[in-house]
Amino acid sequence: MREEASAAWLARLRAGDAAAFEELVRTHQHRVYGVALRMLGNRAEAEEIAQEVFLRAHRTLGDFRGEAKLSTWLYAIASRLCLTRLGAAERRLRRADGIDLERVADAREHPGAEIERGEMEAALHRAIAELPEDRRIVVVLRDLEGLSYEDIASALDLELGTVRSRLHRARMDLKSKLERFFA
Amino acid sequence: MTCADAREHLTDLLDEVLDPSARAALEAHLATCAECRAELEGLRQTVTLLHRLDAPRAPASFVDRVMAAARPADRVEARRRRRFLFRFPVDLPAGVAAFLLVAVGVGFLLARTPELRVAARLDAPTRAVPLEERYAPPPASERAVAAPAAGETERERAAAERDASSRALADRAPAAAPPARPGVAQAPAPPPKDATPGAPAEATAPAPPEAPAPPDQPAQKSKGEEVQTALKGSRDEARALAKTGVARSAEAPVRAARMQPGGSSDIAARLSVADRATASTAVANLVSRAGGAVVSSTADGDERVLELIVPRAELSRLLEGLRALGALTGEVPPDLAPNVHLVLRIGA
Repeated sequence: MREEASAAWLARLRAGDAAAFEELVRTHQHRVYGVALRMLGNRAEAEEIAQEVFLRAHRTLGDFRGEAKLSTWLYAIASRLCLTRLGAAERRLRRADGIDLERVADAREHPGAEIERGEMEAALHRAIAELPEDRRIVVVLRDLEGLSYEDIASALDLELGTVRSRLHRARMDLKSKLERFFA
Repeated sequence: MTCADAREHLTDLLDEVLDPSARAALEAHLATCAECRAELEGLRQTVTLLHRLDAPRAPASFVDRVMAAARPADRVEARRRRRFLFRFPVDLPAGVAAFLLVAVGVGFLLARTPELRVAARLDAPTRAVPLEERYAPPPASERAVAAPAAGETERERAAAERDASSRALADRAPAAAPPARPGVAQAPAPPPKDATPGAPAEATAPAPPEAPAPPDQPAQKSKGEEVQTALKGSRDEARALAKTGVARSAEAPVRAARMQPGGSSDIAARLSVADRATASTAVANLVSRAGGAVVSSTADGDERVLELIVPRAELSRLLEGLRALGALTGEVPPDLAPNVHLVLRIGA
């Protein structure tokens, strides 16, 4: 991510410069989409949420003070939107009905020689998807997106200790489900 | 340090976020506890697996879609700003225009709809006019030159017309009749095309009610009609009677078209009775029995004006029935259409 955004570029961004905004989207699209996909487990929903993240950013860029990293700010928006979506009654209902999840580790994505790796990834994705949402977002931001504890605490508006605790619980959960793939 | 304490910090150790003293204590425990070391190794491998996951990539067209979705927001925002900035220059004239539009519409409706005008003047009794005055056609010269003054009220126009009728009756010389009262000489005139001298009445069947018949036309008596009432006037006079104080000029064609399904003729008649209400009911019954219909019933001063449509074959019987109710005056023109339009005034 472009962490050292120049003051001039940020100024253009805040002023509503379309080219600067496009650069922002181009730079951060995969990570924002990745968080949404890991959290929601559905490509269409992930794209919808990722798009909404950037549209919200577009609307509120004027309020971005630059105190946090731009990437952390986007992760914060993405996390909130994902958690809100996961908490929506409609989505809970769909999940309960079993209509939902096009898992990220759909077998169609892993044909032929990649089967073993695909199986491991499928198990990994399934294990992530089965984590409680508050733990899942922490492990996604830490182990998949590489954020620091401090950035996670900032993005999720949590105490540092809470981040540590949730991350540890999440990893323990995952370990118990993935031990068969350990070397 | 217990195993439980140690395991609580294994993640911190992996992520190297422990302070030096805590780290030293944990490493000392791990050096002596195989189970905790295995736990640590399991966590390390878990994190390794997580790191091996490919990072998802947004769809190829994602940026374009976001930019396309963001652009309308720009436009909406810009439009919102423009509306705010130009609220008064734009909205105020629009409001005024809307008001004017409604006002003109109401005026137009009032002008085009006789019933509204009748309703508007119901509480303003009109002066009783002798029958002869009502039947007398206005002088042609007056019609030709008179034009309704802007802002003239319907009552003034109706009164002026009655005055004109009175003058015509008194002079018996319509073309040369001078104004009886200079102050109210402007009797409403029909549109110029209707005032064309010599225009046949049939050619302008839905013409304004003021259109007078040629002077010789009233002399033509119906041939087979078994009507013995003392009839006088003409079809156009009948229209004038029907519309006296009610509908003038522009609405006449519309009204006539509505009133004359199948091309009915007009008859004006007056029924003098002792009890107007009872007579009105009786007339309605007679019309119904004749297979006709009461098109409208309006009050005009002390009189009740019924507009009737009656099949021509039943007209004689209807007229007989009317004569049984009271003194009937009027005239039946010679060329009646299959459906006869009859305007009957019921009064004392």
